[in-house]
Amino acid sequence: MVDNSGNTSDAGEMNQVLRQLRAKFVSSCQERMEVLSAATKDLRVDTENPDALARVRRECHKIAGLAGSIGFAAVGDLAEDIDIKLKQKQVVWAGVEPRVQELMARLRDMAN
Amino acid sequence: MKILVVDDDPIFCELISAELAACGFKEVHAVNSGAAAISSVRESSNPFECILLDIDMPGMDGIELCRLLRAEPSTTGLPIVMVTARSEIESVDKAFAAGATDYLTKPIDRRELQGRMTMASGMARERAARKAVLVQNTSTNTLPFEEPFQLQIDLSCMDYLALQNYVLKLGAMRMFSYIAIAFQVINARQLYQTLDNSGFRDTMSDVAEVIAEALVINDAIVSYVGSGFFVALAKRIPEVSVEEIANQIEMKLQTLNDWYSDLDQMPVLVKIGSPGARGIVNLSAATEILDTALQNTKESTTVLGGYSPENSKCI
Repeated sequence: MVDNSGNTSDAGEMNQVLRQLRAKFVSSCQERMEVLSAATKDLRVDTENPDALARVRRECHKIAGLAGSIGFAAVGDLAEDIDIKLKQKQVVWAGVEPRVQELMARLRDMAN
Repeated sequence: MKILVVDDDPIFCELISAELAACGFKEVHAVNSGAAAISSVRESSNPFECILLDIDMPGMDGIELCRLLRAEPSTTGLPIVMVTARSEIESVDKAFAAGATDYLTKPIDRRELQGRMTMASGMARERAARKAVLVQNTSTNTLPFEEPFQLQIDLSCMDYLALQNYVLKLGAMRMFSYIAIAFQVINARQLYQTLDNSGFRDTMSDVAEVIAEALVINDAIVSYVGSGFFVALAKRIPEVSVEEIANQIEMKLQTLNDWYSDLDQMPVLVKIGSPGARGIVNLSAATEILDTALQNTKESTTVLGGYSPENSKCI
């Protein structure tokens, strides 16, 4: 039930949806980690591989938009930081790789 | 309000649908690509009233999709709200140029979403009301004289509410790189009284085109404010000479007025004001530059379009 002011009169309904979305996000963590892991391997061979950099950025971009909105602020902020750095070409891969590894570790923790 | 959400992430689509429902907007249809969005718009028997677009999508991005939706008959005047991550904030400029009316940032903040959607809902209601009135009677002037409307020229024009949103987005610092110049068709009321809806809209669109052409090297965006007033937001560099712009507009208006004369339509007479600009240190709202430009036009005495005592009766 929603009133005209936009406040849910049944906050439990929204909480229920958020719980479901968090669960979906958690179950997607393994797949997201695999995308990042594959791109990271490619970047070990060629640190300027544009396709691999784009894959890292895209995944981080998606995580940044979603995770922060469903209560995983730390993961969202970390992904956003990587997204912005890669977008603005602020750093070379070596400068951003530790952050990506940290993000992958967090995703792994969530998946387990 | 029937809303179309376009985002390549299905979980995000679910989230924003739930957040919209929590804000009171329950009729939400979500798709995951630009192509699916175009299909939905074309196939929907009950038209959408507002669209939320993710900017960064694989394949067709949100900006390209926005441009295409502006060309679709059923979505041409709809509020389009861009949804963007902070890393894409610079892309919002392009989105506004492609026809977006507003934007909001990810992660989603419900208060921000509520505010943006309330504004979009107002735009959609206003559009629906105007459309209903126009369908009832296209021959009389049911278009309110005082209110802004969408000009019928290319993408160098913008709805006035969208222009205000754009200026707010640019913010105080970036507005230093822009100036606002306002124009007034001083015989707009007489034109409004003698032309039908479409004639008045066409005439104001002609004037907008003249203004946009005169300011083309400054990438100006022209917006119709209502009551015969226009505001152009132009880049400050290359330096804008009001005298040079006035000369160009005068020349183009003469051609336009000769054409109107052949159609037995009264000429348009246009006042140009001095530009509104912001200093680097300015604590007022960024949109004040638009108000300043409009005020300058009211105080201006420069009239273009072949003004003479003979045609002064047009005013």
